[in-house]
Amino acid sequence: MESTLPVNTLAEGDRGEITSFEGGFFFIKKLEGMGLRIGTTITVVARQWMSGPVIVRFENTEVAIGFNMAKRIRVKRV
Amino acid sequence: MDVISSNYPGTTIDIARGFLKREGEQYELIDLPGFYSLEPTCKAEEIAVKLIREGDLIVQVVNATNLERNLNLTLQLIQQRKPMLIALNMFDETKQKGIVIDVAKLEQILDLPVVPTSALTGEGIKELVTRMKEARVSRYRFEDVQRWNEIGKITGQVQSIHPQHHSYFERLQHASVRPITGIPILVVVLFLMFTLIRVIGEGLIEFLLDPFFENMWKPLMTTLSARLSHQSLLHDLLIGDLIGGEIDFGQSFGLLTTGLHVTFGAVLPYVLAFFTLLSVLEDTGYLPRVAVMVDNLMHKVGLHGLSIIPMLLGFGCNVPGTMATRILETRKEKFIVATLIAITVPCMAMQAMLFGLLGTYGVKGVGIVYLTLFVVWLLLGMILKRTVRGRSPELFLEIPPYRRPYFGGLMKKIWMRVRWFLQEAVPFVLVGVLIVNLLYSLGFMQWVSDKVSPLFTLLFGLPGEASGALIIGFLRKDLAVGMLLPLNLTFQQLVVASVMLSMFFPCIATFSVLLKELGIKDLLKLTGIMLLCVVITGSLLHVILSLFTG
Repeated sequence: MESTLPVNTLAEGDRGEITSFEGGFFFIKKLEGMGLRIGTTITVVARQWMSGPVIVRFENTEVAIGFNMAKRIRVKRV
Repeated sequence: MDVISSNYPGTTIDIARGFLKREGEQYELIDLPGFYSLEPTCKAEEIAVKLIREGDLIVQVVNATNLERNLNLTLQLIQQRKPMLIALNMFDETKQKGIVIDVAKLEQILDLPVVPTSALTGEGIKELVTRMKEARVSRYRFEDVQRWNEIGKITGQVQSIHPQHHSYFERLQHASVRPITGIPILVVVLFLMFTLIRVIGEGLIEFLLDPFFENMWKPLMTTLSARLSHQSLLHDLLIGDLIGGEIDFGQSFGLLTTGLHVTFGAVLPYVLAFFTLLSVLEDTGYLPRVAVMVDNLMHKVGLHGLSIIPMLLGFGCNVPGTMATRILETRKEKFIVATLIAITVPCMAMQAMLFGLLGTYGVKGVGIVYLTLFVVWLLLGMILKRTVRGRSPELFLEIPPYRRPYFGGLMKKIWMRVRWFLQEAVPFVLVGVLIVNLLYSLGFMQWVSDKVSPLFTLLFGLPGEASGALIIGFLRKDLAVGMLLPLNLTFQQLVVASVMLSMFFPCIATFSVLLKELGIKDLLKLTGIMLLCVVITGSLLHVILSLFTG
């Protein structure tokens, strides 16, 4: 089985395909509203120091995701 | 139709309505806050959804550079079975990004009119309005659970992307948000902003407003003063006291003298400069990146990066700053931000007053005040983080590409914010001047200052009369200059008085907004916290400064 990582552990330039969300209804709806769903491929574009937000790019959008949210989005490397 | 919108969610905080007359029909237009799906995740979105259900016709503004995400909402709206029309906006940007969209095919699939538009250049807007009568209920049917598959199918048929190279522009966008390059850039931007605000503000005062007030208004008022009997009520009201036989715009306290000068001659230039620069910064898309960079710091005070925006607005005027707390999700955040703004963020009126009092002492005096306010901000924020009940949510924000600001929209936005300020300032200043005069003639000011004199001298090192400034500060911060100037305070006293004035009760305009936003219970809590902070900070500062100046 392929291992999955939470988004906050990816480095700048890494690409991953979303495999699962660790959260409830509102969490998933929020992400979906922005266009992030299972199967979306994201690229990490910028990281902050310590536990700052991660900026990811997918399709034609760039989104900043808070650290604790990024922890709950799992991807497999592509 | 006047509306402010920006690249971060929630700035269309008031639902704007307007009217449009076309070909005999009258339409009421309702501008909704941006949202991405009919399953709302916050208050602003709930309101939007409700209004959609009540509306007759829906115009969906779709971002052409982001078709997939926007189609999610399109399909949900189609299920509402209302007449619809799509504005395929930012169409000009698709060319830059190598995206090609087959508009005719999209119209065919969705069974709706699709009009490519570009708000920046104005292209397509006329066509959009003309085609409004073509809005229809789409006959497009699909299974809701298959929605994303449908979206994928649609984009597959209408959109093709030719990937572009990493442009210079993109590298700048990333450099300005990664900490190593981003933070120095932020420091430079802030420094530039501060300098420009000073230059523009002082420029307006020196070359436009002072000449007007000194050379045109003053002689006019002096003539009026001579015409009215010096002891009459009318003279007191309109002209105020003559200081050394002359009208002094700072101290006379007449409606037509201090009343007008304070707003138009002292504060407005800086408010104008501030909101101009902030709006430019907003429209280029820089602010969401700032929110990302300050997110770490904001977490220390129980907030997240986006909270920087209301606080930033608060530096111009606490009223729009407090209103902007609507973009925050939880009650805890709203309370913390509103409290921090009310107590530790000085508005332009307060800052103009600050420089008026301490400007002659150079960076030293003003610097201590700002530093103290920042320290209080941090400490109070950390305490509130732990004591206020509730959730602190995470940042989740779209980062837009840098865009050249659209001049027309920019001007409108600036004008709206300045107009807001004037609407809050002018009536309150005039009322404030009246009340000051009234309180003085009743002897109220003297009574209060006698009562608090021992306390003030002991704790803050200030004469009892300084209490008058605090009382006036409740009405308008900038009027308090006139109260403090005649007291001939020492440098140390001026610093303590300025800090206390800045922290004490936000001006009454802000206070009424706070009542509306927080409710009476939270407002009382805020007031209690504020009084405590003022007394503690004033006393501590007094002690610390005494130690240093010996």
